[in-house]
Amino acid sequence: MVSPNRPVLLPTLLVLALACWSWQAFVPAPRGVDNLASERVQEQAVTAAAGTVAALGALPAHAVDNPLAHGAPGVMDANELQGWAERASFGGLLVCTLLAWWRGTLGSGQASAQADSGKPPAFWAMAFSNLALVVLLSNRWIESGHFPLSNMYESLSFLAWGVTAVTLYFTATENNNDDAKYFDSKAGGAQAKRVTGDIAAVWASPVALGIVAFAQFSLPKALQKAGALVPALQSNWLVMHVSVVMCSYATLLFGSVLCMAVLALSQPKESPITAIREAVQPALQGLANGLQPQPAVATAGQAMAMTGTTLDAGNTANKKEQDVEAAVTTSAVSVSATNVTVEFSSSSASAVLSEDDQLAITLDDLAYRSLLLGFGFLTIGIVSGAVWANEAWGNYWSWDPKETWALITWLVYAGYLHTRLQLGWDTRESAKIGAFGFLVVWVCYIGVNLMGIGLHSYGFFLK
Amino acid sequence: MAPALPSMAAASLRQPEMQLRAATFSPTQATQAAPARPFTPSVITGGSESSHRRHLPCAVVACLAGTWATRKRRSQVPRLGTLTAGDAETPSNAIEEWLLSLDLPTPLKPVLGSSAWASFAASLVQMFVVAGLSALGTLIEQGESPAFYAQKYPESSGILLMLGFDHMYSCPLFLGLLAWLAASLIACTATTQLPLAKKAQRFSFRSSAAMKRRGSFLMRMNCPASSAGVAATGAATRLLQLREELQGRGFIVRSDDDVNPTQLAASRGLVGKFAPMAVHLALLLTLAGNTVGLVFGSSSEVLVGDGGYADIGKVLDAGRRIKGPLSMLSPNKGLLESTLVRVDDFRIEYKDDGNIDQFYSKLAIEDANTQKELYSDEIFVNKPLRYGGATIYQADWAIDRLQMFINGFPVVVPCKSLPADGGDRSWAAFLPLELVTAKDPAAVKQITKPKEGIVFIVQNMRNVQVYGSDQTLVGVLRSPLAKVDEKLEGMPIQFGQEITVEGGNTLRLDRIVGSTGLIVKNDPGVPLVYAGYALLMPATLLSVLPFVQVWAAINSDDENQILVTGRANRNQLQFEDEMKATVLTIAN
Repeated sequence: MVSPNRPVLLPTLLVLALACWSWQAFVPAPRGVDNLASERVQEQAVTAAAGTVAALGALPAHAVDNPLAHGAPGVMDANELQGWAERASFGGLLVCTLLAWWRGTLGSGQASAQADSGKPPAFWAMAFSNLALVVLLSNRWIESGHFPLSNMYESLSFLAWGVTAVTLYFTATENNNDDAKYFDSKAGGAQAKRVTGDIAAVWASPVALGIVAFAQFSLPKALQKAGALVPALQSNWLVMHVSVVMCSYATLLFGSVLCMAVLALSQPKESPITAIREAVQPALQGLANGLQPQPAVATAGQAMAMTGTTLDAGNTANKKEQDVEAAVTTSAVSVSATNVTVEFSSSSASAVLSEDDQLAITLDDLAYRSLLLGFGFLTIGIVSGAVWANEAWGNYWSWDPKETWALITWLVYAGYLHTRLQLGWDTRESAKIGAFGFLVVWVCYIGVNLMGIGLHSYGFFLK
Repeated sequence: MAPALPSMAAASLRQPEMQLRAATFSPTQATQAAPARPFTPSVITGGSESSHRRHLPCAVVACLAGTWATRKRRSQVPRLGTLTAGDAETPSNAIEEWLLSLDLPTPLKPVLGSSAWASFAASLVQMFVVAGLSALGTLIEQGESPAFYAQKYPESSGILLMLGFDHMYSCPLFLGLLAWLAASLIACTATTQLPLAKKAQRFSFRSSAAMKRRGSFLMRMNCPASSAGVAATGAATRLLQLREELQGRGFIVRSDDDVNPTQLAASRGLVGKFAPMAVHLALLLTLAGNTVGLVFGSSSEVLVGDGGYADIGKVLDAGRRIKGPLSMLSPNKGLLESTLVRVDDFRIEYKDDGNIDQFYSKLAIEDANTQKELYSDEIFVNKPLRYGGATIYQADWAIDRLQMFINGFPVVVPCKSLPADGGDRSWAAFLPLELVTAKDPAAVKQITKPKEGIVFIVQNMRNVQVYGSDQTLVGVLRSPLAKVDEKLEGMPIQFGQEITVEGGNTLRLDRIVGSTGLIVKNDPGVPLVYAGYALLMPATLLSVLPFVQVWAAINSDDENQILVTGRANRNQLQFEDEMKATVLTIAN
């Protein structure tokens, strides 16, 4: 049974990827050149690096433990295009991770000097691997004749594609707030948003890299082969259900990783994470200085002075200036032609928060938006799964482990959203739930299959 | 550059609390990010099309919400303030206006301490407990015998069985939790969300003094009366412009005076206040549908041989979950009585590599009394047959019998399932030797040596292994329907549609006849569940829209100054950005 949707969906996939990729063409380049928050990115990168090095270290161990593990890693299918696409996606993500971390830790001075030229190189590396994954999946599609989401290898590749696509999308659109430009495009808010994009890349690229590495190196070769669809999967619902669910996983993973970033940012002084941050950072900075002399960069206070407004005066260390201007008014714009003046004073978050908190707010906002989107996807995914199950298995809900874990994921994120929507919770408390969701999504996605039970193990019909 | 006017007093009054909360965004940025506006006075023209786009998705939920909205009272009591513009002028606000005019039912007072057991914290705990128990249910084997648990969990099997964790998803504890969750949903909707929505429907003006005290931000627009030559009405004109600009941005605006306003109150995103209620309603519908299905639903499986019949009514009756007198209440009592399903054909399609591609059953529905065929269809996995409230699914299969020829005489050999120990399922059939060697099998009246004979082993619908009376593999009979198989290495000598056994007697396989396992199901809860799903998806997406309110007034201390303040329940930072842009647009 060949899926009749192939001709329609293949172009759609390509267009989607292209849209994400070319989005930056429509996004104005960031205007501000300042280095206020780059230290934060460094700290983020250090924390992310520590976690991911540990996770990558665990990967080969898993492969050894697995009796089905194949021989030499990197041995690809006979299909040449497939091999190229695999190598390109892996290499692209590796480069992307390195670049993002470089920008976050060592190359921050350089990075801020380049800010005018548009997106950081890590963005392009990620876009490249995103395209490579599109080629990989399209090739699979043409080869097997059905939508490439029928086994672990394909769905992992699709997940990696989703994570990169979501990252690219949110990074590209983060700076795209037209209204903000009227008053304070160079002030803390917009700048924090740009740094947010860097932090998102620092955290998300290792996740995508890990997924691709797991799919290509750690997954038994037998599971990498494109297989035929079992009877229960031969339905148009496959495309609808699985792709939406994978999109939701990708978006939720991205959001959860950002929640972790928020948590890492808002650690109290005495926490071990802060200690690690403070221990590692001077060493890295020394290394960076040794490798390459830092260009002269405006200090925080100077940067503030240049912007001409003191909307975020409370953040800066430049107390004198703050004393003079913040007392007068927070922000003022004058329209000279009609002699009309407008003053703005805000009592909300942006005015008097510390730099850490300002960054945490924008990061958290990004996490919140992606989790909202992912939650919507997950809802649609669960509903479509239930409707499909009612067609194929005779029951819309059978408490199959995969279903159950999808429900658990849904409940966890519903809890997160409720704490955000309803209650005056501190976002850091909410972020803990969001970060916990990262684990739940992985249990739902991989853990259930490892348990090897239930209808979603793709062999239910012949007991 | 005009010097910024001192507003020290206001600024110091409005020292905010340190709370890391305000940065909330909706994922539907298109509905939020207002289009870029140049500093030109022609602001109203572009507004309506952008707000068209902004409010399109609201239509979905508005239609759904209409099902439970009792009546409108648009023409009855005018609300506080007057309508500043007709619907014809700003059609994009029609949905918001309609939501505004909905007469919501009176909220319930908290009863039975519901503010405690249905509080937010309680329902959050409930959600996580349900999630935890569900997770536990996937870790503990379900539906095994007590002995199994005693062996696997020697210490805790007693507690497990007592709590009913061997059937987690139907144990009283779990169902009770779900019922409690449903009760909290109702309580939350009726006692918390409803008053909030009603409050959001009301417009109230804020005096300039109140505006200086409250709101998350304050904007002062100084419009000196002498400058633009509009004399003393400078501020009032700006206020009129602000009113139009806000309408262009999708706000509903009320003003204290239509022609010469001094105070404005505006709101947008009412749908974001209604959608959470729709989400709860959708979840309740789903839970109600589940309950109806659990109580009145009926589902059971039947194995029908090719060419055989099954009585749909009886199969459904066998699968009813409630028996006895209560079943008289069932809405599907006596459904499809004396209606038969006939299996005209059952076949399995194989792929080239021998794996199963798909299972097909040709079914016909027949009236038991008149033998009239009412309906017929071919089903496969993923395509059930629906007739008269029953749904018939392809669910299982078996081998029923073998049709073959012995020396040209037709015989039918029934098959029996063999115990499968983990491997593939298989069936066996026995053909007494006397029948094989007889000149005319039909003439054999009695089998004298029941132990001697040929044994057939069937594992699929493609071929049959034949063992002779000496218990050695004689050959493999291929089904004529199967695609021609290559003779594999190590295969016995004989392979084909016809083989020779027991000294020159020929066996020819005519057909391997299967039986199809059908699930016959009736679930009166499905429409409710699907209605819940249909409502859930748009409502989830719409409930993230922020609800924002804006107040504007001419400062009572300075008639040349307009004060603007506002509030957003989420997405505060972007809302502030939008308000800055709005005010700057009209300031120009």
